[in-house]
Amino acid sequence: MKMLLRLLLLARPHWGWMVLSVLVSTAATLANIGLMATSGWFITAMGLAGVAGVTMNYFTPAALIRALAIVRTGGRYLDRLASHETTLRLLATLRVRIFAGLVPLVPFQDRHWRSADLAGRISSDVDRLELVFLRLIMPVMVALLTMIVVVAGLAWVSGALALVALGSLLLLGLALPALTARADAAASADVAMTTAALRNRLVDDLDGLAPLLLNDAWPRERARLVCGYADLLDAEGRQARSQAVGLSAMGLATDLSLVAMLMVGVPLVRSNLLAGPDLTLAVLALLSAFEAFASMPDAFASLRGALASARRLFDLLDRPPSLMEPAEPLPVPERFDLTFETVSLVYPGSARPALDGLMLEIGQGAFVAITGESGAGKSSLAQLLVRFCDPSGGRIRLGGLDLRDLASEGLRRVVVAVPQASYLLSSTVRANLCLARPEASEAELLAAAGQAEFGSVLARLPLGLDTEIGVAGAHLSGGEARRLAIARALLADPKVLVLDEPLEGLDGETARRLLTSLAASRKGRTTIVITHQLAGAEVFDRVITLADGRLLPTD
Amino acid sequence: MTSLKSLNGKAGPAIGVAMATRALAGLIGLAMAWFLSGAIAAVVFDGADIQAVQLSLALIAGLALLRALAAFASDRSAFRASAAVRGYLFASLLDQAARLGPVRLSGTPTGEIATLFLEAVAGVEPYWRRWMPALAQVSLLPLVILLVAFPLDWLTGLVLFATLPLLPLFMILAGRAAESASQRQWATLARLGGHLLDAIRALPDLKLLGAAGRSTGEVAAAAEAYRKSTMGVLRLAFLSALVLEFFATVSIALVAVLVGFRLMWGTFDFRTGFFLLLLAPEFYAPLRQLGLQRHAKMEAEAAAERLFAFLDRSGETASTAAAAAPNLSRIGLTFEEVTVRHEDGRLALDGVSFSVAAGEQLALVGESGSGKSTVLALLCGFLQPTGGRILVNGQPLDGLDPTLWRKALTVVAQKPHLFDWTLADNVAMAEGNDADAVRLALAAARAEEIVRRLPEGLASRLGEAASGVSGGEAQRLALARAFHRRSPLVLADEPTAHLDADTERDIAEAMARLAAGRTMITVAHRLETVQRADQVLVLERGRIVEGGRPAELLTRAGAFARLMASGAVLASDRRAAR
Repeated sequence: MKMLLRLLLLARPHWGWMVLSVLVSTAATLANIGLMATSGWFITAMGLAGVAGVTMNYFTPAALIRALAIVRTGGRYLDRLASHETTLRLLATLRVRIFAGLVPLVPFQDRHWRSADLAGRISSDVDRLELVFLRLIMPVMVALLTMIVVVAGLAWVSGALALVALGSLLLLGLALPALTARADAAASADVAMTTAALRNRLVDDLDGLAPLLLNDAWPRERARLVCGYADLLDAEGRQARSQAVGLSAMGLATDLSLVAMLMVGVPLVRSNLLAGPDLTLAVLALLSAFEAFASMPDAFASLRGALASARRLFDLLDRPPSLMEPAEPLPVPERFDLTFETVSLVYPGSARPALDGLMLEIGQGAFVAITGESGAGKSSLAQLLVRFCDPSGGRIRLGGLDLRDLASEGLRRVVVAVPQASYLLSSTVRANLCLARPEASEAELLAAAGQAEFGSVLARLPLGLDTEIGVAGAHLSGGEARRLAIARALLADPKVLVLDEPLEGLDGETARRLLTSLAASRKGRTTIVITHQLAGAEVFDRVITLADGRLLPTD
Repeated sequence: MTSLKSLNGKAGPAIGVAMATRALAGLIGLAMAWFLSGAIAAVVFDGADIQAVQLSLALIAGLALLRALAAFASDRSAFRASAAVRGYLFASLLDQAARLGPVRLSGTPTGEIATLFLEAVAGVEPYWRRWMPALAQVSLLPLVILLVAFPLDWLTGLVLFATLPLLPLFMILAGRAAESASQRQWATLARLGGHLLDAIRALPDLKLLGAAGRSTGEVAAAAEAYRKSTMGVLRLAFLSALVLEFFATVSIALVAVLVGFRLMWGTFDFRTGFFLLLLAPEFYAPLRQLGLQRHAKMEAEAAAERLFAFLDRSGETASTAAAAAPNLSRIGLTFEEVTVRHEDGRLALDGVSFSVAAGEQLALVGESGSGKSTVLALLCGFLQPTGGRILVNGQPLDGLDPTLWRKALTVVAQKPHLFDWTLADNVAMAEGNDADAVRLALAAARAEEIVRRLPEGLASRLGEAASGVSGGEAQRLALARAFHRRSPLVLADEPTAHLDADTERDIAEAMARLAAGRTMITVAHRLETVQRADQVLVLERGRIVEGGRPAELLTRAGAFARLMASGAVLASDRRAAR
């Protein structure tokens, strides 16, 4: 409940729209109920008048029928428009709030540049929350209001019939859907578990498709996967069964509550406590009121998932920022020499330090390589320089100032890192480059591309800068994507440029050209190239080798 | 296969049952309305008491039970039908994956393929679970209601009948516009969802570039633009529902008024009138239901499109003729003008010819993208030549049974994949293996230490992405797998750097032992390997630019010498030499 309230608070700018949607929808639903009830009352009353051979005032009910018909028709149209408008407005607000909330939390995990899995989960949680109003809040509110009006209206006709209506609507609107949702919860947990297990197996087998095919192990694995899928279908079947039971029970309860209404109403008519037309009215009102409750099982079923999504997102947003910003940040220094003073870094949960008392000086404008085996601490060094993490011991100074005394925004304006696997936006080359500097001119974009040896790739692309590069840059090869990311970093015009494995995926010739071009265009920029391959080693001023988080004495 | 309809055969009789029971449930509803109107007429007009209508009420309750059962049966059958289709699709996708093979699939991230196999297959479900049953109701109920209404009262029948042809007409007019509009809408919604995911994934990079704040604005702008365009489309799209709503409402009102006045004039029977009033909304309800399920159908179609796109990709060509089982105890190979052109037009190999005698060691060198791995992929059968041919002991490779041929192969990959199985199963690539043979293979690959280190020895599970094993250990286990296999032809892609010197030396020695007495083709990254080979081929852009004995090539100062000097290809040796 707290989750829902917090969600509602987040949606505060659109409360007006939400109330409007609920009211319009309720009006349309009530108009439909009114249309059927009035029509039933009308023909019964007309029939009785016909039998008695008298006339009756048919203008009022006929006018009412016309009015309700108009409200129902227009109301349903407006209902759809209003509820979608509200949902889309909520969607925009929610996305911006959550995205803005995520910004201070990056990097999400201490050890990696990113977690693809986390991003996917956040995105699907947001997707789910966007529908909470349309699928959950609105139907429940409309059903509740409808129930109140219908029961109150019937009470005016007959207290006993109103009680029957109240009882059956409560049963149908609350009890049955809640029971169904509970049965559904266990089944859906089962489905989720079976899916996860099958997915792991499938990914493992697809990744290892080559050895499976080559070693004649594919038929066995295929049989296992098919078996796993049958298990999944079984689990889903159990879930579908409990849903089907719930739906059929709803239908049955609807019909039986009509019978109950007749059982109560018929003796009342017989003993002249209830007028005949009013019985018809009550039966038809109840019959058409059920329509408002038809979506209750779906609403209840979505509640659990929505709450889980909300909890995950709020837990994430409540996390402390990944880094402590200084209370009074110092201005960015004028010079940019780097000093590592006995810097250690131990990742949480790891016994071995990634960096272990590292002492290192890198002068302004230097062009250095940092090499070492994987796990030697190279990437940690890059993350420390942009404050994606802070040292567990010792300090790093930029122009004599401790990095921790600088605002991280300011620091990242002068120190720019290109991670091992940069993420490229699923957009154009231009959009990706402009991330670094939206106001950059065409010439500047081309110059940066040229310096990063991306010029030749650009020349080949059909629409040049305006070529779409596919989802996350899928249309580019690994080496091309890397060079685009470097061009992007160059556009930011950093004083210190840190490149994590920029040469991976490049052939020797291109790698050498890239290094030469970066060295030639540096103009006082410090460049730190982290690499395990030393093609073009002659370009570097200095090659620093790390082993086990320490400097290896140069040979 | 092009449409969901074509899969109906796979759904079996269950889909027929689902549709029939759904229609039956609708018909039972009509019968209930008849008894309900009878009971109310008796009570209000004939002064019947509760005993008099007991039978009617009991019948209504009985029919209600029957209707609930029919609805349940329909739901179950519809699920069964969709499950049958999904099972069939999943198995077809697995077979297609095997036909395409790892090389053709390498362009798509595994996660994406897994999503296709699980989510897209699940995505076709609504077509059988929702759309087809809704279709059954819509094709039967309005017709039956007309057939019932006309004999009872031709005027009501006429009102319903008059709106009937108008409805589809308006629905088609409004629906067609809405359909194309909403298809566009689905695409933008997917893109919008993608936009947020994209922005979140890019967050670390945005932060590194100081662009995170700006991007918040972009997320807002994208959502706002989406709202405007969507509402524009929806205003039109909802018109088709409005049309339906209008006719349904007008008909109900009209029936009520027409019936009412004739009742007052005493020219009509109340029970019939009330029954007709109950039928009027039922006449339009199935159409409304169908409209609601249109989204379900469109989503299913979108999912199916992705599936068919994958299933229609062309893969391995079936072997032409099963020649008499050849003797594959020793293997010599000949490439005759072999060309491989990928579907996107890239030329991977361009008229490559060479031969390897049985027992000979061949080293392939060249920069990445020069075609070395294509040669291995051809021999694995993961690609087929688009020109020329490959001969195995003088017989064309495409005439051999692939299973038989692969038995003669051992492949040592550059980045070996270890499965989430036990260590022993990973070496033997089978279950119920012979522990002694596995131990021998591990010993040959100098991998016994890994077994000793792991808590459960041979029975240790290697876990997801072999998390408990380092890169060097994975290489050793892959070699153990190769030793276990004992086949006459070894294809190896040497690991590049990343390994410490000891591991690298051990692996090189093990490779040399593996080669003894076998034909071996190695994509070489180490100088030593090249020097030990009987024959070296230098590849450049899919062509052989130089070939011969390694000692000869070194003195020739050609492409080979240039490559050696650049250090790009033989990176690890440079490091070793430092």
